[in-house]
Amino acid sequence: MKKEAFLNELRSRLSGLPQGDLEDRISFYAEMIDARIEEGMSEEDAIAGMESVDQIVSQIMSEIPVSQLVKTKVKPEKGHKAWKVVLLICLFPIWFPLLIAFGAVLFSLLIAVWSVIISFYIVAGSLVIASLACIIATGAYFALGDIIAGVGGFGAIFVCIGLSILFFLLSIVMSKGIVKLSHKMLIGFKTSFVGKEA
Amino acid sequence: MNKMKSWLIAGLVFFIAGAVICAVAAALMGFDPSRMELFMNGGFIH
Repeated sequence: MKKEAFLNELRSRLSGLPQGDLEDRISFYAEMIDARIEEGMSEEDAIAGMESVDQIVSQIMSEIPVSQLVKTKVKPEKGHKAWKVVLLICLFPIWFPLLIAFGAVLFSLLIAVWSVIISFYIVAGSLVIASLACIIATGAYFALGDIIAGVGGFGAIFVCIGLSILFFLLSIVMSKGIVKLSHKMLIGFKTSFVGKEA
Repeated sequence: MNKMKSWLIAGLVFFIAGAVICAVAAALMGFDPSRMELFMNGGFIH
Protein backbone atom coordinates (compact mmCIF):
# COMPACT_ATOMS: atom_id res chain seq x y z
CA MET A 1 0.00 0.00 0.00
CA LYS A 2 1.25 3.50 -0.85
CA LYS A 3 1.53 6.30 1.69
CA GLU A 4 -1.26 8.37 0.12
CA ALA A 5 -3.66 5.42 0.00
CA PHE A 6 -2.89 4.57 3.62
CA LEU A 7 -3.41 8.13 4.82
CA ASN A 8 -6.58 8.53 2.73
CA GLU A 9 -8.07 5.37 4.20
CA LEU A 10 -7.16 6.54 7.70
CA ARG A 11 -8.66 9.96 6.98
CA SER A 12 -11.93 8.48 5.72
CA ARG A 13 -12.19 6.13 8.72
CA LEU A 14 -11.62 9.02 11.13
CA SER A 15 -13.70 11.59 9.26
CA GLY A 16 -16.04 12.16 12.23
CA LEU A 17 -13.26 13.54 14.42
CA PRO A 18 -12.86 17.29 15.00
CA GLN A 19 -10.96 18.75 12.02
CA GLY A 20 -7.90 19.93 14.00
CA ASP A 21 -7.62 16.63 15.82
CA LEU A 22 -7.92 14.69 12.57
CA GLU A 23 -5.18 16.73 10.87
CA ASP A 24 -2.86 16.30 13.87
CA ARG A 25 -3.26 12.56 13.82
CA ILE A 26 -2.88 12.24 10.03
CA SER A 27 0.29 14.35 10.08
CA PHE A 28 1.63 12.23 12.95
CA TYR A 29 1.31 9.06 10.88
CA ALA A 30 2.60 10.82 7.73
CA GLU A 31 5.73 11.87 9.66
CA MET A 32 6.13 8.35 11.00
CA ILE A 33 6.07 6.94 7.45
CA ASP A 34 8.49 9.66 6.23
CA ALA A 35 10.92 8.84 9.04
CA ARG A 36 10.90 5.18 8.05
CA ILE A 37 11.47 6.08 4.38
CA GLU A 38 14.41 8.31 5.40
CA GLU A 39 15.88 5.34 7.26
CA GLY A 40 16.06 3.56 3.90
CA MET A 41 12.83 1.56 3.83
CA SER A 42 10.62 1.51 0.76
CA GLU A 43 7.19 3.14 0.97
CA GLU A 44 5.42 -0.25 0.96
CA ASP A 45 7.73 -1.72 3.62
CA ALA A 46 7.34 1.35 5.82
CA ILE A 47 3.55 0.98 5.76
CA ALA A 48 3.64 -2.82 6.08
CA GLY A 49 5.70 -2.40 9.26
CA MET A 50 3.10 -0.12 10.82
CA GLU A 51 -0.09 -1.08 12.63
CA SER A 52 -3.11 -1.74 10.42
CA VAL A 53 -5.70 1.00 9.85
CA ASP A 54 -8.18 -0.99 11.99
CA GLN A 55 -5.74 -1.10 14.89
CA ILE A 56 -4.94 2.60 14.62
CA VAL A 57 -8.66 3.54 14.49
CA SER A 58 -9.41 1.32 17.49
CA GLN A 59 -6.49 2.84 19.42
CA ILE A 60 -7.57 6.40 18.63
CA MET A 61 -11.18 5.60 19.54
CA SER A 62 -10.11 4.33 22.97
CA GLU A 63 -8.32 7.65 23.62
CA ILE A 64 -11.15 10.02 22.62
CA PRO A 65 -14.02 10.58 25.10
CA VAL A 66 -17.57 9.82 23.88
CA SER A 67 -18.74 13.35 24.76
CA GLN A 68 -16.23 14.87 22.30
CA LEU A 69 -17.37 12.58 19.47
CA VAL A 70 -21.07 13.26 20.12
CA LYS A 71 -20.41 17.00 20.30
CA THR A 72 -18.54 16.97 16.98
CA LYS A 73 -21.25 14.90 15.31
CA VAL A 74 -24.21 16.88 16.65
CA LYS A 75 -22.72 20.36 16.19
CA PRO A 76 -23.69 21.65 12.73
CA GLU A 77 -21.24 23.70 10.67
CA LYS A 78 -23.63 26.56 9.98
CA GLY A 79 -25.63 26.77 13.24
CA HIS A 80 -28.87 25.02 14.16
CA LYS A 81 -31.78 25.24 11.75
CA ALA A 82 -35.01 26.57 13.30
CA TRP A 83 -37.20 23.64 12.21
CA LYS A 84 -34.75 21.17 13.74
CA VAL A 85 -34.87 22.98 17.09
CA VAL A 86 -38.71 23.13 17.02
CA LEU A 87 -38.91 19.43 16.14
CA LEU A 88 -36.48 18.57 18.92
CA ILE A 89 -38.58 20.48 21.49
CA CYS A 90 -41.92 19.12 20.24
CA LEU A 91 -40.70 15.52 20.29
CA PHE A 92 -39.06 15.91 23.69
CA PRO A 93 -41.85 13.92 25.51
CA ILE A 94 -41.09 11.00 23.18
CA TRP A 95 -37.32 10.90 22.83
CA PHE A 96 -36.44 11.84 26.40
CA PRO A 97 -38.31 8.95 28.13
CA LEU A 98 -36.96 6.60 25.45
CA LEU A 99 -33.44 7.81 26.15
CA ILE A 100 -33.94 7.35 29.91
CA ALA A 101 -35.44 3.87 29.37
CA PHE A 102 -32.52 2.87 27.12
CA GLY A 103 -30.02 4.10 29.72
CA ALA A 104 -31.89 2.27 32.50
CA VAL A 105 -31.93 -0.99 30.52
CA LEU A 106 -28.19 -0.72 29.83
CA PHE A 107 -27.49 0.10 33.48
CA SER A 108 -29.62 -2.79 34.80
CA LEU A 109 -27.95 -5.18 32.34
CA LEU A 110 -24.56 -4.09 33.62
CA ILE A 111 -25.65 -4.50 37.25
CA ALA A 112 -27.13 -7.96 36.52
CA VAL A 113 -23.97 -9.21 34.80
CA TRP A 114 -21.69 -7.91 37.55
CA SER A 115 -24.00 -9.36 40.25
CA VAL A 116 -23.52 -12.82 38.74
CA ILE A 117 -19.74 -12.34 38.71
CA ILE A 118 -19.69 -11.02 42.30
CA SER A 119 -21.84 -13.96 43.44
CA PHE A 120 -19.25 -16.32 41.91
CA TYR A 121 -16.51 -14.58 43.93
CA ILE A 122 -18.68 -14.93 47.07
CA VAL A 123 -19.22 -18.65 46.40
CA ALA A 124 -15.43 -19.07 46.00
CA GLY A 125 -14.86 -17.20 49.27
CA SER A 126 -17.48 -19.27 51.11
CA LEU A 127 -15.80 -22.46 49.86
CA VAL A 128 -12.51 -21.26 51.37
CA ILE A 129 -14.33 -20.72 54.71
CA ALA A 130 -15.97 -24.16 54.32
CA SER A 131 -12.56 -25.77 53.80
CA LEU A 132 -11.33 -24.14 57.05
CA ALA A 133 -14.42 -25.49 58.84
CA CYS A 134 -13.70 -28.94 57.38
CA ILE A 135 -10.13 -28.78 58.72
CA ILE A 136 -11.49 -28.13 62.24
CA ALA A 137 -14.15 -30.86 61.89
CA THR A 138 -11.61 -33.38 60.55
CA GLY A 139 -9.30 -32.64 63.48
CA ALA A 140 -12.22 -33.22 65.85
CA TYR A 141 -13.17 -36.51 64.16
CA PHE A 142 -9.63 -37.83 64.48
CA ALA A 143 -9.38 -36.56 68.06
CA LEU A 144 -12.59 -38.42 68.94
CA GLY A 145 -11.20 -41.56 67.31
CA ASP A 146 -13.69 -41.69 64.43
CA ILE A 147 -11.12 -42.43 61.74
CA ILE A 148 -13.58 -43.13 58.90
CA ALA A 149 -15.46 -39.86 59.42
CA GLY A 150 -12.05 -38.17 59.67
CA VAL A 151 -11.12 -39.56 56.25
CA GLY A 152 -14.45 -38.26 54.92
CA GLY A 153 -13.68 -34.84 56.38
CA PHE A 154 -10.22 -34.95 54.84
CA GLY A 155 -11.82 -35.57 51.43
CA ALA A 156 -14.24 -32.70 52.02
CA ILE A 157 -11.25 -30.34 52.63
CA PHE A 158 -9.82 -31.29 49.23
CA VAL A 159 -13.20 -30.92 47.49
CA CYS A 160 -13.73 -27.44 49.01
CA ILE A 161 -10.21 -26.25 48.10
CA GLY A 162 -10.57 -27.62 44.54
CA LEU A 163 -13.98 -26.03 44.03
CA SER A 164 -12.82 -22.68 45.48
CA ILE A 165 -9.87 -22.62 43.03
CA LEU A 166 -12.21 -23.44 40.13
CA PHE A 167 -14.77 -20.81 41.17
CA PHE A 168 -12.05 -18.15 41.59
CA LEU A 169 -10.70 -18.99 38.12
CA LEU A 170 -14.18 -18.84 36.60
CA SER A 171 -14.84 -15.48 38.28
CA ILE A 172 -11.53 -14.04 37.02
CA VAL A 173 -12.16 -15.27 33.47
CA MET A 174 -15.71 -13.86 33.51
CA SER A 175 -14.58 -10.47 34.89
CA LYS A 176 -11.85 -10.19 32.25
CA GLY A 177 -14.30 -11.21 29.53
CA ILE A 178 -16.88 -8.63 30.59
CA VAL A 179 -14.26 -5.85 30.81
CA LYS A 180 -12.98 -6.79 27.33
CA LEU A 181 -16.52 -6.96 25.92
CA SER A 182 -17.46 -3.59 27.46
CA HIS A 183 -14.31 -2.04 25.97
CA LYS A 184 -15.11 -3.49 22.53
CA MET A 185 -18.72 -2.27 22.75
CA LEU A 186 -17.51 1.22 23.71
CA ILE A 187 -15.04 1.26 20.79
CA GLY A 188 -17.82 0.06 18.45
CA PHE A 189 -20.15 2.77 19.76
CA LYS A 190 -17.48 5.43 19.27
CA THR A 191 -16.57 4.13 15.81
CA SER A 192 -20.23 4.47 14.79
CA PHE A 193 -19.81 8.24 15.24
CA VAL A 194 -16.87 8.51 12.85
CA GLY A 195 -16.10 7.40 9.34
CA LYS A 196 -19.68 7.55 8.03
CA GLU A 197 -18.68 9.97 5.32
CA ALA A 198 -16.26 7.38 3.88
CA MET B 1 -2.32 -18.17 30.33
CA ASN B 2 0.00 -20.94 31.53
CA LYS B 3 -0.50 -19.77 35.11
CA MET B 4 -4.28 -20.05 34.64
CA LYS B 5 -3.86 -23.51 33.15
CA SER B 6 -1.80 -24.71 36.12
CA TRP B 7 -4.38 -23.30 38.56
CA LEU B 8 -7.15 -25.07 36.60
CA ILE B 9 -5.25 -28.36 36.79
CA ALA B 10 -4.57 -27.82 40.51
CA GLY B 11 -8.29 -27.15 41.14
CA LEU B 12 -9.36 -30.23 39.21
CA VAL B 13 -6.74 -32.43 40.94
CA PHE B 14 -7.87 -31.23 44.39
CA PHE B 15 -11.54 -31.73 43.51
CA ILE B 16 -11.09 -35.23 42.07
CA ALA B 17 -8.75 -36.32 44.88
CA GLY B 18 -11.26 -35.04 47.47
CA ALA B 19 -14.16 -36.78 45.73
CA VAL B 20 -12.20 -40.08 45.66
CA ILE B 21 -11.30 -39.77 49.37
CA CYS B 22 -14.95 -39.00 50.22
CA ALA B 23 -16.08 -42.03 48.18
CA VAL B 24 -13.58 -44.23 50.04
CA ALA B 25 -14.84 -42.90 53.39
CA ALA B 26 -18.46 -43.53 52.32
CA ALA B 27 -17.52 -47.07 51.28
CA LEU B 28 -15.82 -47.61 54.65
CA MET B 29 -19.03 -46.45 56.33
CA GLY B 30 -20.71 -49.21 54.35
CA PHE B 31 -22.82 -46.64 52.50
CA ASP B 32 -24.96 -46.52 55.65
CA PRO B 33 -27.34 -43.57 55.08
CA SER B 34 -27.95 -42.92 58.78
CA ARG B 35 -24.22 -42.65 59.48
CA MET B 36 -23.51 -40.58 56.41
CA GLU B 37 -26.39 -38.26 57.27
CA LEU B 38 -24.88 -37.75 60.71
CA PHE B 39 -21.57 -36.97 59.03
CA MET B 40 -23.15 -34.56 56.54
CA ASN B 41 -24.96 -32.73 59.35
CA GLY B 42 -21.69 -32.20 61.12
CA GLY B 43 -22.84 -34.36 64.01
CA PHE B 44 -19.39 -35.74 64.72
CA ILE B 45 -20.08 -36.28 68.42
CA HIS B 46 -21.86 -39.59 68.39
